[in-house]
Amino acid sequence: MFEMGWFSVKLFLKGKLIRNPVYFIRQTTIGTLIGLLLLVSIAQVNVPLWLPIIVSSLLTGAIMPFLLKDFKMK
Amino acid sequence: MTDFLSSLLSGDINLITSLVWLAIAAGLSIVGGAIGGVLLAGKDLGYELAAMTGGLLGPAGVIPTIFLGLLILNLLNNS
Repeated sequence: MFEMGWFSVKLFLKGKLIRNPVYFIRQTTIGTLIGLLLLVSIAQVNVPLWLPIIVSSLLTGAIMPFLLKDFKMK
Repeated sequence: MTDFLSSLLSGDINLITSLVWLAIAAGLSIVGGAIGGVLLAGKDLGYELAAMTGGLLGPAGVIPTIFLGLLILNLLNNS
């Protein structure tokens, strides 16, 4: 699993992993904005910082496959 | 070490705590991505492959989120 991840990172850096970079960037931006909204809004309530970080990273991680479901690798 | 842990838990945002949060968030994003992948495609791809693909996609959105989020929170705290 880690080997596969490392291999993907190497391909990604060579610009060979993603077939449609514009789609990827757009969907990643949408995911990032959702995550940012979650993180910053939860952090406004008086809770310890680890709570918004854990909630937003788990949730944002979980929605990324939905956002990127049409993305194709080479 | 005690100073570091207390600043981590009290929510100080500085270079070191940011890096630690980023690492924690990256780990959680892999877990989140795996959950999302299984929910999305577990039946079609098989649970293991879906979790693995999701785990690769999760961090793509989470790492910029935490990076920018800590930056924004830091600005909000100081203003």
